[in-house]
Amino acid sequence: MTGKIQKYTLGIGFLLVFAAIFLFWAVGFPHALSYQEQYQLFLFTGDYFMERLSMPGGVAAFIGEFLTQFYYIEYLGAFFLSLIAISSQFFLFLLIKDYGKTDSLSAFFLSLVFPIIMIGLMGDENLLLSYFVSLLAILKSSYFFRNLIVFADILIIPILYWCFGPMVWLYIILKMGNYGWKYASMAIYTIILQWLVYMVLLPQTPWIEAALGIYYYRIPLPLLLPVFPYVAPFIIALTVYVSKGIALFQSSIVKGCISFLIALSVGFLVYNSNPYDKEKYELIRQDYLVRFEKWDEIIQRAEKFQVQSPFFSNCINLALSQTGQLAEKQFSFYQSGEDALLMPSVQELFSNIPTSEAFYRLGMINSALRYTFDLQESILNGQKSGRFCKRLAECYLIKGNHKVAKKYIDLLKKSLFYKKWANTADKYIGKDNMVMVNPSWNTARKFQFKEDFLYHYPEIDKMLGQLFVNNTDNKMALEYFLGELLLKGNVNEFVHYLSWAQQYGGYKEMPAGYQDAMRAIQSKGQDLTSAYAKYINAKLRQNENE
Amino acid sequence: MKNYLLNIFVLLAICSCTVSKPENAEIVNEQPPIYPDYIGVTIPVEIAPLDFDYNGGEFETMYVLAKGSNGGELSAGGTTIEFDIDDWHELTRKNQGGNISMTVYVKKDGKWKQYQDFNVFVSNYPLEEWGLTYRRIAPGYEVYGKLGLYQRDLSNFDETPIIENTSVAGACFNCHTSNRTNPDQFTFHVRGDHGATMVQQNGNREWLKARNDSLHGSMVYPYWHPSGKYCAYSTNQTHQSFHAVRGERIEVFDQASDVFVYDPNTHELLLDTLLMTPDHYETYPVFSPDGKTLYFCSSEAKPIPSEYKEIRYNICKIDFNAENGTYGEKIDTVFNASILGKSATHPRPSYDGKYIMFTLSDYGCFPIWHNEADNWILNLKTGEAKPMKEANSSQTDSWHNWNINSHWFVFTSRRGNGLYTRLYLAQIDDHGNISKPFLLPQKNPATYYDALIDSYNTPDFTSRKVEFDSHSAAREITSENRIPTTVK
Repeated sequence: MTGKIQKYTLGIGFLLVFAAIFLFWAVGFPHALSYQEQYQLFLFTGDYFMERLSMPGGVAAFIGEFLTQFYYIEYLGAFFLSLIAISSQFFLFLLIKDYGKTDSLSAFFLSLVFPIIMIGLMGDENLLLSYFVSLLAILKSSYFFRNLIVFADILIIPILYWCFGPMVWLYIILKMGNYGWKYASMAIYTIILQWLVYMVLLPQTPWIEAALGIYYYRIPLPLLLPVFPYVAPFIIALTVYVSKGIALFQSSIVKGCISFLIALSVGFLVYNSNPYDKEKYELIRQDYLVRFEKWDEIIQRAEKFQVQSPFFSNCINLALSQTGQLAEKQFSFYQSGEDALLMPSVQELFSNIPTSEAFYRLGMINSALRYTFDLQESILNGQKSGRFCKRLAECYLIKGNHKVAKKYIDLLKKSLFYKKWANTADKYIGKDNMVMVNPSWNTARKFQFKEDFLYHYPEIDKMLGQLFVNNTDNKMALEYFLGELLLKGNVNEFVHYLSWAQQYGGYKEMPAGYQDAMRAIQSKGQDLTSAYAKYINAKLRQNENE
Repeated sequence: MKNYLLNIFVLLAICSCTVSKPENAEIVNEQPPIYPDYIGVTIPVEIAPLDFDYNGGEFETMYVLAKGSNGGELSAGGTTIEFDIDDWHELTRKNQGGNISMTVYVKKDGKWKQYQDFNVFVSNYPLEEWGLTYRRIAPGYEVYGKLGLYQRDLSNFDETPIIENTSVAGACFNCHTSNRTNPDQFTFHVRGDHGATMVQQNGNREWLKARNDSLHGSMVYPYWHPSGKYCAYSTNQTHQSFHAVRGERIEVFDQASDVFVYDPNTHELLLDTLLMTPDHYETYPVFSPDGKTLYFCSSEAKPIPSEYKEIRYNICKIDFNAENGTYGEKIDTVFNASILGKSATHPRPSYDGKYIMFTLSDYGCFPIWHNEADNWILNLKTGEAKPMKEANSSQTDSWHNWNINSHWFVFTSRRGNGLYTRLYLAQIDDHGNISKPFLLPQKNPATYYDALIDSYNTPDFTSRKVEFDSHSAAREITSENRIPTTVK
């Protein structure tokens, strides 16, 4: 009876952990999943499979990328993540029980270390799911092969290394717990194995990646070596070792309490390391909301918390523009400076996303294309992005280059979640008249520049003005133009071109934001009730300091 | 490793589907729509098989019979045409100087159709090189992702990296250049945080400081002196801007550039005021096959970017004395493109001394992004220059190189889709007749090229496989040990 109660208690315990992890991702951090998903494009092709399989750790990468694509639907992503977490915890639980010969409850508490560490580690947005797939596979292998003769590991270790990468060292460390220093020969064997693989099969891989993993981290390790992902397996191994010490206590309550305290301590350490930096994750959330065009939610969140960065300003201004409030409320929110509407090109994978989205909606298709292309090329592990490929295909359709658009569409057809869109878009290929019937593509096409010039970011206000002159239906261009003049402090030009707002803006009355700006201009920045006056005074102070 | 695994799968796929020659096929009075367009092309003996795909819409399967005019026969069938490599080589050997007639049968809606036969001509001129070297890079703007220098065995489909930037994160490699296709000597430039110019001679690598105070920029666009004693480079202050309208993309221009020769034995730069004029941009230096002349492109300097469309390069030359490393005293214009309102760049003298191939565009030094760019050929004996109509297209045709016997050339073209450059090879005979170019053969070409999201650039022939220790090279790049250059 007691055994049955214990079994049910454990079952409920695992279920609760599963539910907590699921809710953490599905409700708390769906944007973190979207972030991960947008930096890969899993393809159902033999070539994709072979490419992964041809490198150590490739099986884990393939499985990890396969599962990451489900993050497109956050609940599915959260489900798979919870499944990985709970499965890994379960095998850790079995290992603790087997190694420490301790009771189930204290083993359960100790095994909580895994989901805690996993949640903590995943705060690093560059850590890939293949890392956790490898962990799960190694924990499972460590349990199933725990009593296998050492000789068998001569075969098992190379297989595990090739499939799951250097995480195989966790297997060796855990085995050393059973076999002691006798097993050290296997460690030497693994070092030689890794060295041989590096020398013979990995001519284009730096030694540090051959040693520490090619597919665990998005940023190449020679550029950035994270510490915690390489400490974590030791902590996990330590929990197994520690269980033997805990088992020495007679009382189950004492054992349970110590185990719980250990898990709690790890949790405390993880929490203290602040893995989910508030500002960073707010920006990731803003990007997620921009991606799915949840404009009202962007504004609502910004009313409560603002991150002082150009990325944030770009997101909020885009949201205001898409809801027809930019002229009213631009300076009610934080404005980072002249880059608050459109940022200059930054060579990394995140910062320019809202600018590229704004360019696309403005009809500056060449710039949208450029920013999107460079964003994709900035994914340092060489992955492509479903989100960016889709946008590239749209841009090329708008530009009328159907052959290049088809290339991206064909790529997306081989994916799971972009396939439907790609099949629909494919019907437009070669039929330019159909593109002109598509409302958003045709609008973007009509908004494009008519006369050629060379893009020059310092003159972004002039380009926006030119864009509006091209097509006076482009109200977004008008508001971005006037907004940029205000951001730059070109007040005379703003006053001069304000008549455009009256003539073409379609406003019933002059927007409050422009009235506010005029008050600030007329009072020479002395009207302290004016939001724009605050902005321009701060800008002047900053210029003086510089 | 990936290739081995793929080969196993392909072999299994081939074994599992064989198509026999169709009977009673309906004759269609047109040539088959195939990709790549290999109809009427001229190929060298023992080139990789001209595998192709059907490009005429939905179909069930196809069958191809290849018959040599001098004998020999080969067939293939399935949804993509893949010839056996050894059998294909045998067929080309047997038909050197003749042709291979291809009969294509396609099964559509349960019925077989037989298209008009087409010929593939097998040249008498051998391709003496082992393969090609080139860079593969996504056609981006300001950011480069994964890229590398690669080499391709032209007798089959094997491509291997010489060096990829996975080995040195953040590095960019460009302008890989060997000496007259011989990889005993080659050089390339590394951009990025670990910038350098690499010079490898007989297996010994040297990493030169990317910059020298006497130069405007780093050492780029190299070309070896035929003796191997020198290598010419240009040094360019390159900038790029982006066009606003839909038909255009990128504009690359130099705000200063000079030409000079480097002596790898002494690490000295041989500078000359005639090649470093302040009122002209000099770039793209190349030596004549006898090594006595240095050709280069030169344009009058104009305000950049306001007058970027007025920058037009002519092909010029200056004498060069390899004995003492000195230049002549005057510059001659070999081809005056500016009077045609055009700009001539990328000159490449044929190794037999007969021609200079170059790219002609409306303006500027970087025709790679100009749709109107075409390759031209200048006959050095007659002085006549003409567009290579047989090889050009309505899209950009640019960067080119000769093989060692000067009867084959490789060039890049955006003719496929207007953006992604692909490699084409063509023949030029003793009388200057140019054959229809053929796309670099690939297995399952439609799928291959559709899935490939890299462009090819700076292709050149290589007489044999390039030996390069990428592990050591990567360590050397990151080590920051650089050899300074000095001015002689």
